[in-house]
Amino acid sequence: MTISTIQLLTKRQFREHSRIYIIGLLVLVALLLFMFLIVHQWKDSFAGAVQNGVFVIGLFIAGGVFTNSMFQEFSNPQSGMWLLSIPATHAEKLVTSLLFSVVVFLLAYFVVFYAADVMYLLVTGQLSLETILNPFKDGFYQFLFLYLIFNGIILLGSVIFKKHSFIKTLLAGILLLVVFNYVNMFILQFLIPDANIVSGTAFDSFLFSHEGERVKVSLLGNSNLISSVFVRFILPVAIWFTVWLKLKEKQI
Amino acid sequence: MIHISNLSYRYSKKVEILNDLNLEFQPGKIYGLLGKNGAGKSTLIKNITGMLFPTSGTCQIFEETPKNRSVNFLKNLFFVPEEYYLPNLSIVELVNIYKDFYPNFDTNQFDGYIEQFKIEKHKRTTELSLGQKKKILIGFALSANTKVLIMDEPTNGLDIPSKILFRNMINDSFNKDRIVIITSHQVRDLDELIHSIIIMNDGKVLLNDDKAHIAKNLKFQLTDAKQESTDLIYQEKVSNGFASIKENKTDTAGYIDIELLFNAVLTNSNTINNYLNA
Repeated sequence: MTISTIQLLTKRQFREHSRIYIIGLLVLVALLLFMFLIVHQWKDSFAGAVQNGVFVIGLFIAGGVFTNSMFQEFSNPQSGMWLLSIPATHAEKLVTSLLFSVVVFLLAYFVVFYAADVMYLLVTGQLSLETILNPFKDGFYQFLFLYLIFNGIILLGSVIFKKHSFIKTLLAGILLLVVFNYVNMFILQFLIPDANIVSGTAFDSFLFSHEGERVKVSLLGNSNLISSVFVRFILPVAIWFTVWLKLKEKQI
Repeated sequence: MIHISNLSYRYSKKVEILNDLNLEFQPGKIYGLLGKNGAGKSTLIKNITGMLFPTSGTCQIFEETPKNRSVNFLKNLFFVPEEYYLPNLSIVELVNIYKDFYPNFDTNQFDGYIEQFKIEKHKRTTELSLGQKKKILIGFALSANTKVLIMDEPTNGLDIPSKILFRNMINDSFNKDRIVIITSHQVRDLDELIHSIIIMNDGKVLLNDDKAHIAKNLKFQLTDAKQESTDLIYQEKVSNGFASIKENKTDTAGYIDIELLFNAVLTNSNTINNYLNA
């Protein structure tokens, strides 16, 4: 992998899509303002941290669409062949797409979100340092780690599926989540057959009912750390690695 | 050199496209890969360019395996597919962005082609007609000066003056280190251009020989009346009489009617190969 090739790929990605990126930014501003307008209009129905909600929804919608466009060339055979024929390694092509869909996107998203947030607070007369969204409050930044996993899954889908990859990936992802949840519950029931398990989150905790009370069982400190490292770092890297493998195997 | 050994390609267990192919392509030659639609030409090309992976057998291009799509391999091969794509950029931007990927890219050479094609450089690819887009891609492919240049049906979509220009461009940019493979089902388009002929049908190579060798061994004739001679290898009715192939018993090499040879090979490749290998 060479820096000069990544620079060339970055230049190529930006110059070929600069127009659509500018339009995309404007659409994102409009989407965020629209969501802020809705929560303001029906503020009685949206109690709580509305900015956090708007941030997360915007992050996953815009991030998903943008990430899916990284390998949009595979949606037709001609452009797919063009992309595969560019003299760069599969790793360089993947790293460039990650630079755009993670680093550039998150930077742009933060700038656009805060611009929209400030505008919303200004218009509604609530602007102050305390009212602006603080991503470090109550561990809200954790959503960024979830975004990394989401980014990997969407990239994987755009390499695997030829047509309508975004929709197909979302559907496959939802299906997998449902199956994964059932498998997790099945394993918990198998391990603790006497417990009346109410809900469970894989690699984190489960809730069971005992004599009318709900008891939460979390992983031990050490296991919790391992689980946390796995979900935040190892899982996204593992998915990106799978994207690289699929890219190497791609045939058109 | 391109070395293909026992290469087979299947889309599924039932559908076999290429069947145990053995071929060699030498530098310094322009190869015409001919065949009817569905003969397996494009699939073979895609296996050579690393877009498809062989089901069995091997393909080596200057010691590189196409399926790995290594940078060195991609820098030394340019592929112009039949149905092509050009990014939405101006021609100037296209060259500025992509020329750095190809170490031997010659910008002056490309500018010369653009001038010959009479296409304005500031135009975006989306403003060009299909024929103009194809010319830009062919111009870029030639200017990249890769060791291997492969073009799948390059003359499709080109008007007659452009076909002549295309032939001249290929000839001018050709050198002894380069392998050029051109596929076509319009065999006359390649007539004066190619040094070697490969004819494929049903996933098999029926004929693979140099034009000089073919011309030395076979004699192509056009007569007003049908011939009944016993030394006829192949004969067919054409618009202005009867075209035939006989054994060339003289020391002089004549012309080759590629279209006639193509039909003869499809009818009975064994007989033609027997005469060529005698």
